[in-house]
Amino acid sequence: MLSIKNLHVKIDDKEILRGIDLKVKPGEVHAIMGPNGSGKSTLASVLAGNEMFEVSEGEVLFNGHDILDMAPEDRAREGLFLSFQYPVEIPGVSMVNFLRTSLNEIRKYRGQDPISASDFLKLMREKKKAG
Amino acid sequence: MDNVIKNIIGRDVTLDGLFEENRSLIEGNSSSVMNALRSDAFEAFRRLGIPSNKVEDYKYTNLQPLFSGDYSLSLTPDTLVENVEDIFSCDVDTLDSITIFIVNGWYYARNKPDGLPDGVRIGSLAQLAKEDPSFLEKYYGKNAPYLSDGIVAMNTMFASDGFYIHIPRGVTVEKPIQIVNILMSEEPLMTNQRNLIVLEENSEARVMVCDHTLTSDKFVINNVTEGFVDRNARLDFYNLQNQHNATTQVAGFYIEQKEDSHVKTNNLTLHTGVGRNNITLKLAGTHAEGHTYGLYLLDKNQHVDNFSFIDHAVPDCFSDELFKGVLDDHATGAFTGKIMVRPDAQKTNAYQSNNNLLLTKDAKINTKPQLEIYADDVKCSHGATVGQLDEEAMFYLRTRGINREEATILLMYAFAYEVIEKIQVEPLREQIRTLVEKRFRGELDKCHSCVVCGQKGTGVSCM
Repeated sequence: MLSIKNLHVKIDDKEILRGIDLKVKPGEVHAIMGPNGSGKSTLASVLAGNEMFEVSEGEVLFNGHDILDMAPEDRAREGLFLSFQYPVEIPGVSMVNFLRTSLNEIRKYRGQDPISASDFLKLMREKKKAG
Repeated sequence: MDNVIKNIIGRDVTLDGLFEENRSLIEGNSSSVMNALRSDAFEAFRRLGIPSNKVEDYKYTNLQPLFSGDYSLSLTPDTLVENVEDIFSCDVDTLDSITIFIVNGWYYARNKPDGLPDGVRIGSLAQLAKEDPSFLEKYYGKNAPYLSDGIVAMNTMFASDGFYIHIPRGVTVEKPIQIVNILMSEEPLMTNQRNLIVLEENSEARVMVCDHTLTSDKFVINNVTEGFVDRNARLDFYNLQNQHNATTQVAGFYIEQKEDSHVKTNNLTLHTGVGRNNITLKLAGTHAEGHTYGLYLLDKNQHVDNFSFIDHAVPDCFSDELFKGVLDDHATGAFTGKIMVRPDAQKTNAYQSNNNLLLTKDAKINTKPQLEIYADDVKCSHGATVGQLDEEAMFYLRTRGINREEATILLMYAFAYEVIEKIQVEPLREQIRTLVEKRFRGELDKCHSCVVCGQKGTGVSCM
């Protein structure tokens, strides 16, 4: 499902990842461990598509697609995204609005119709009960 | 100081020459109360002229070149054949309001403001000057600095009409009063509109002024609005500006507040060419509260300059200011927040904040807090920020599948929201919220001359 081959990553000419290989099959759960500064977050950020980092070598395939050339939003729409350790709080963006925009973007990507504000609220209430 | 040479449709004439030439026509159409100030205003104008950037208060907006060029002058009321209601559809049309129209600076003759509570008067200033001169005399020219500001002097020289609102003692007008300023002309046009808002003791009103251009000609607008808010009265004032790029508008709001009064102004510039707002609140009675807010959303080569002056003349008053701007392309902006705390004005609380978001390297903002504090027991704060979109927030949104354009809109909107949420009238806030979102999505493009204008450097038509 996810395959990382010989991944090298630089930030401002400083090499941080020096050849990572990793294969994740569907249904598997992996935990990556290591001391501070060993590049765990860098790996996660690169996979999510943070433009601060430069990939100098290697390839990453997700469901058979090369994702390194994709924009972060397209990776997310393909189903790969990063859960932030410290989620960014954006003053003025309400959670409902944010979630709905996000869902609609992904629906659009999949060729589905956008969901209306009232339907989305209904959906949210259902999910809340289920949880 | 030399006054600008102005071409009034094909011939060179100075503005003061123009005034002298048309004085009898202007005065003939007007009444004694308004005519009484014209000589002094004329003298002041000859001394001051149109403010250039050498005048400190106009440092970032040189009005002189903008007030020269080929224009006709709106000296007589328009005789419109069509109904304004038929040719104009309002962007906030679902708002349940008392609506009146002003066409090219003149009170539209077929206005019928109905549903007014007893004693409330809304109408034409020229008419008021004829019918109730003693009322107008008490207020006319009392707040607007027509002897020290050239642009106000010019307005006072030429002004013939505009709207007035009079809310008597103890009356609350629940519905918002909406004034729609419409500009439409077959040729470039200059207007001088004069307005008056009077709220007597314990009264309350919400006034919304919408500025629109309906034809693509160049417009130069010089508006002056004087406001008098008496004891314990409450005025919410909104100005929504949505004009095309060939518009120059100078709008002055000069409001005086008495004891325990509450005034809130909100200047929302959605689209214009060059805009200059002079917002003056004089806190002249103890425990008066003044709030001034503003939002300007600029792109291409628009320019907006908000100049606010909060005058704490007596003790125990409160003022709060928040102006926010989003500037794209080559847009430029300016903000001045002048706060005067006079020697006796102890226990003053005054807050001010100006935040700007620059989306490109070419956008520019000049922001200037200007606090003059002559009392020693006061609490004043000011802050100004200029920044770019937060890359981390942008990345976060993108990792949730929201593309860059959509994320930009979401972030700009989030930035602007702080000003919008200050609007207390719920339906109005919703309307403006939608308008701002439309504006960010580019669905509210007022720039009829865009085809010729394009970007910077392609002509003066779109200044």
